[in-house]
Amino acid sequence: MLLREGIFFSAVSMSMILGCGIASNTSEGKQTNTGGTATGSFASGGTGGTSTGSSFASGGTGGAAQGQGSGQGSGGALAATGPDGFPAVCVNSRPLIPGEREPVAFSLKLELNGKPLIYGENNALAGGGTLLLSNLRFYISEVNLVDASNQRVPVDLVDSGGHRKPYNVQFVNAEAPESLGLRVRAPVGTYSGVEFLLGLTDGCNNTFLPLDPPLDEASQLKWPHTFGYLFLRYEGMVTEPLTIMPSTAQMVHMGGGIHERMAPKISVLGAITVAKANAEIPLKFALDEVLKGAAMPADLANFMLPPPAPPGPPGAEILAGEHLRQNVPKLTIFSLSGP
Amino acid sequence: MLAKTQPVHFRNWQPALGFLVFACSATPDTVNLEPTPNLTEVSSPFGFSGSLASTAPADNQLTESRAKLGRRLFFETALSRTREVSCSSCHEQSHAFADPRPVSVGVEGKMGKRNAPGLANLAWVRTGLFWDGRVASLEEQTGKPIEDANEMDLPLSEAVARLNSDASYVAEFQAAYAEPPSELSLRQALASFVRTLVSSNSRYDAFLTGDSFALSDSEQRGSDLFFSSRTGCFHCHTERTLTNDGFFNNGSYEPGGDIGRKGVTGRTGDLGKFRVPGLRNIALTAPYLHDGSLPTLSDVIDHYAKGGRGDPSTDVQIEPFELNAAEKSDLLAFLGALTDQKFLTDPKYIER
Repeated sequence: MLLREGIFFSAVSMSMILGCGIASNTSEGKQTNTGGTATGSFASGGTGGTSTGSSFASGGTGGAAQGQGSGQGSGGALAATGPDGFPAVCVNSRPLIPGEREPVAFSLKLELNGKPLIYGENNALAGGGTLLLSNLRFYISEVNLVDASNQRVPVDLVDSGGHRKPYNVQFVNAEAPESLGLRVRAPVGTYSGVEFLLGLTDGCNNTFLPLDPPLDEASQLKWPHTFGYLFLRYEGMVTEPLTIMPSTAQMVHMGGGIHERMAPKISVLGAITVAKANAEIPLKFALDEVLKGAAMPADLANFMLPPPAPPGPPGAEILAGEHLRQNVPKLTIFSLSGP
Repeated sequence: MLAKTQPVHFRNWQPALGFLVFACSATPDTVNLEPTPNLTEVSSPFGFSGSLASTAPADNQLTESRAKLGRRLFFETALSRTREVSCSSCHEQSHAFADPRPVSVGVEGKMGKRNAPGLANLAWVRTGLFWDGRVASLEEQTGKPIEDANEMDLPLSEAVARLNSDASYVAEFQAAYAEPPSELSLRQALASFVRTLVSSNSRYDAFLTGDSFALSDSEQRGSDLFFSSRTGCFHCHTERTLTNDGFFNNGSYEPGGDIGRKGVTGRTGDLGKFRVPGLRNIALTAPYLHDGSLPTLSDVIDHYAKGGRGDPSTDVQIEPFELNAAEKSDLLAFLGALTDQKFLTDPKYIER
């Protein structure tokens, strides 16, 4: 299809219209999780911090950008990094990272206050009352394992057949249990943790042209204003205990900006062993931490939606999302633990 | 027209980008100029993922013979027990293949439960069909109305027997599926035709693909309202496909009413949820909502402006808003710009 041709034009157009070099803000976090208990905190890299993300140039040879036009599959193009330190272009398909690797399956466990979080049902709140979860979706991308010498080892996200997932992105949807299985291919060895973006790379977030699933509008994470995505979307309804008052809506829509306000980096520490045969590794996701972050203080003095922005002020859910995004480094949203 | 002043705001970025893409692309879409265009030769609307052919399952690849057979079956009254009604009885092309009646009327005047929705661009639906998403594919969906007691009320086995008694059908099935009519190939052929019902020629589509002047000033203002946090329409009706392919409770549920998606999943939170329809040709698919309870688009806007009918099950994103008369007029104008006149009159969809 005509307009599916050429991510090249997207980049050119973006440069022409928005101008490159808009202030970038790379957030970098550390999360400590030892002994299966999330105990750590993040240290933010702050404004203008240097990204420590791996170049991900490995495996970046050849591999045409499927569905994204020609000319973007070269190793050189993939090696180029955006302001977040990750590939500047959003590539649907490229070869798996070479070398002998074994499949490892992380199993996302959605939780609320340490108990399983059930989509579409009332979940008990810590202080009484219930939360009816009606929507929870987010992206995970650019997964690394961290080896014993604290070096990042890029890994491919793959499907059950071992094929690289489109855009190397995991689309998590609480309504779809199959989306909670996060498979990667990694070299045999022992690792001290896993890192990833809670969201998309700047390259994918800034793509103008329509992309294939899971980066299409059906993800319910696509901004309606041409550019950009929500990195995480949550909607629920809280009913207070012992009251006849109506339920209260909760919404958190965490997004990014164009060449700014990058997806927060998640670093989860914990022993991970990759062998010839691997057991499923539980990876907990704590919604209560998300809600806590959305209510924590944040600097919104200069917050504005990126151009082209929707008319009118951003909704409260967007502001809540920005609170969350800024506070992710202080939270323990993800943690490793035993089964 | 060309001298028209365009307000400077975000929506004007998009045509500029579209122009660049058009201007620089090496392989423009081909335009089929044949007197009777093939059903399957159609480009995907901008923003829809994948070619039309790619939306078909491996065991029912899209071919012209299958789509044309499906078109004949779509108008075939012999697929109803009394030979009164066909698929087209409730899906009229002039209404974008929707039913202008609140609920459909089947054999012997039997009334259905829900409004028959428009059929445009269903090829790209991935989350389940019917208002409650109870079937996974077009191939599964197309057999249901034939058997439904309130619609065509004919067992598929009997439908197949009728088709096998008609030599011309047997020949067409042989050509399309290399076998005589069967329940599977009947459903597959109908699915193939429905898959070709592609709408992508509204003025909004032209705007999306680079025509800065496709929308009037009023429509442009309406678009801005539609995609604003103030009305929140875009939460469900996304920019390009005009549906997020999901199921939401839009505030139409009332106690004791149609439970919608909950009837499929059993989940508490799915009470009153229904499929989010795409909005191309929405001005012609009245009445609205799953039950056809709102006669006009003006009523629909009023419904959302009120925040729905008030049941606590209403989605959290349905929040009341206020529009003045001019703004409402603009919003209606924008919805009118989603009409694809070519789709409504395209001869390739007509019975033959």
